[in-house]
Amino acid sequence: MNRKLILTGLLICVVTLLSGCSEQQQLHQKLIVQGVSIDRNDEIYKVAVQALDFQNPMNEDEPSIKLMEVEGISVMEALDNISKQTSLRPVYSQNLVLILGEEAAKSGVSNFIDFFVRHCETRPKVQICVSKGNASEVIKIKSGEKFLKSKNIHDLVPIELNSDVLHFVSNLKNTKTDPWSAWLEVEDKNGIKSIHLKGVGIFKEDHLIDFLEGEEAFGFMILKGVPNFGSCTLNSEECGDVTCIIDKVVPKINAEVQNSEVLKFYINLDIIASTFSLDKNFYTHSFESISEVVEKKLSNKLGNICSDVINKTLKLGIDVFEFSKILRNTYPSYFKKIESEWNKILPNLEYKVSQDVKLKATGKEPV
Amino acid sequence: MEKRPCISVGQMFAMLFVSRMVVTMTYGTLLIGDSDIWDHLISAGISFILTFLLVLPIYKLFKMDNKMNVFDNLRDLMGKYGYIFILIYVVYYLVVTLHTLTIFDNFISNAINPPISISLLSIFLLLSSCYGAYKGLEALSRTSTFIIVATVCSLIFLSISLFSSIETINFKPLMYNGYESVAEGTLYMISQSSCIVAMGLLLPMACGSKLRGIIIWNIGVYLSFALVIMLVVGTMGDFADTQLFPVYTAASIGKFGSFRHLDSLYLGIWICGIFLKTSLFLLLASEGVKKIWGEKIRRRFILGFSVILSISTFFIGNFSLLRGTFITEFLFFFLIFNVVIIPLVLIFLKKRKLSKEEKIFES
Repeated sequence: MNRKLILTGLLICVVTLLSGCSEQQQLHQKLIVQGVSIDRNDEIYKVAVQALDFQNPMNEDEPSIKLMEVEGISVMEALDNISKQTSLRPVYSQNLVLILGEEAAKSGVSNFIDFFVRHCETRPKVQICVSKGNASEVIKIKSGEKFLKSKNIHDLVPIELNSDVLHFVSNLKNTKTDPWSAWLEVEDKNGIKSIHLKGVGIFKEDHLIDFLEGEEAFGFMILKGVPNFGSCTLNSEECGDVTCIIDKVVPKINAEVQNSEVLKFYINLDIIASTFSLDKNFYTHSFESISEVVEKKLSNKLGNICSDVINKTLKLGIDVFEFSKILRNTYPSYFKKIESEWNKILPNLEYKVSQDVKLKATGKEPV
Repeated sequence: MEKRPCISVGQMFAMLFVSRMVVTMTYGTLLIGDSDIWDHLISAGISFILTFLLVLPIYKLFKMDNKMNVFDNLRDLMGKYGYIFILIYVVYYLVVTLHTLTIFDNFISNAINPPISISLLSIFLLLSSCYGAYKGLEALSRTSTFIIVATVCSLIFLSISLFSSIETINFKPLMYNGYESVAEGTLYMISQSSCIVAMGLLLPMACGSKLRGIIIWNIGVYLSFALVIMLVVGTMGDFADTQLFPVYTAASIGKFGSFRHLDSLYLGIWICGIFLKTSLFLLLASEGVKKIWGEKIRRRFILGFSVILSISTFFIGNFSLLRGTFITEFLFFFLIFNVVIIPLVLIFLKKRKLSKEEKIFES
């Protein structure tokens, strides 16, 4: 009897409370956010959101890409204003990229990053990028008639660069290190716009300080272990112009403290490069005879490039290469003593870059 | 003596391991505050040894008469006063159930934030737990064998998926900021060892080598704790401090081949664990009630207390006390009382009784 009573009670509960899926939100009722850009103008945050719209699909297989521009006193307020433009509920769990405009990044990322750390739907592996000028230009760029997908923008940033919310916030939270992020730029050539991974934006605490481009960006990428970021062209009398591509780079930074006083960092770069073109008298060379020359020249050039970028960041008092963490891990008691003075020590750090370059000859042509 | 359910040692420790994994998986700043997670690696080592020491009084008591559990001993050695201590155990089991429910509530509201009512979710969890407790220990132990396989598999899967993301630079020197974090971590880990209190009742019901079971269980618990700490710190570094439930966040960044966002896997296993833990502790509390008031009241108690807990879920969000550092200290002292003080008193009383009986026998 008791069992029947309990079962009846449970049945009533099930019937009244579990009313199937009628109240569930369907995919077409959601706005699947793929990319967000944040700009700041006159104390107002302007947010552009690129999202997948399943309500008005382009065709049977593909949802349309919807772009919405909202603004508010805070980023959270701006994002909340999405509901004024659409009845769809924004879902952030599929967000791939967060692009920060120059002004927003310069005014301090801490003012708005919390949403991307705290919100239950956001994920820490969202790529974070900066852009000179307005970030919305990057997210609004079109490929033909359609918007360029956030996935394509996301794929421009090398994974090895660790330009994501996880590393950004981690370096921000550690008071001695500073964050960095990929720099994406829109280039307009004869009215055709395209996006490029131009370099890196470096921050002092949560403020964007400078952009690294060209050789500086190349050096930064090498020091972060990012291969295939552009190429390096060498010139010598022996072999003319040689263009090398960095296939693999393993940077190792070690700290050394002598007599509890002298502090020096040793940066070793293990590099494997390849070359596809020896542009002068290519038919007269054997690879063995010139590889040593090229390796030496490449090694010197990369050493100089890396030293230049380290010098630049140190002069700015920025620790993007995590020297403080390395010192803390190797000499904890020494670091504890100098921890409070780190910001004064940083610009005068001594370091030595050494590189071990191995050149691969690739291609079908016999050399 | 009444007929008792009989489970294997493996099943018993599977239940206790899953109950402990619930704690490991929700480990984070909500309960440990600003404490340095990396230093808790030492805490895990210390807690591993302390757990052995804390098990000793319960184990010794059990060895003195392997058919009697703590409640039997309390009634036998203390008479009517024993009922007061049985009630204290009942309260402990209920507090642990409520605490687990609070963690569930906090986790769901902070990490998932579902569109449906969290209280309703808690009520359904309680209803299931109530049913589990009603079905008894044998049914729960059989369920635990399935859950433990899923738990261990997911832990291995999570480790593999996060292994490539570990950055050694995140491993700072242990105790860099002093030993406070180690002490806090040890206090937290021990305070959550409610399984030792459960052993006081479960050991006489299990068949097999208990000592071997305790050793394997303890190694498993703290090895998985150490593994989780290494994965969380190694993959997230200082970012882990910004997360209420860093293990859940770590699961969301794990990827293994084409598998990504393993947080859903984590969720499934964790909810199974929560169900098992609340069922088990409701069942243990009901055993105490049965000892005092009999079988009929026991069944009503399970249902009645589930209703009370269900109602409390509507107000649980206001009980900040249940998730602050106070609860850690409270659970710690409550645990020490239940696994050290009472068992030691019982051992003393039992020895006195035995020596008296020996003297009578000799005379």
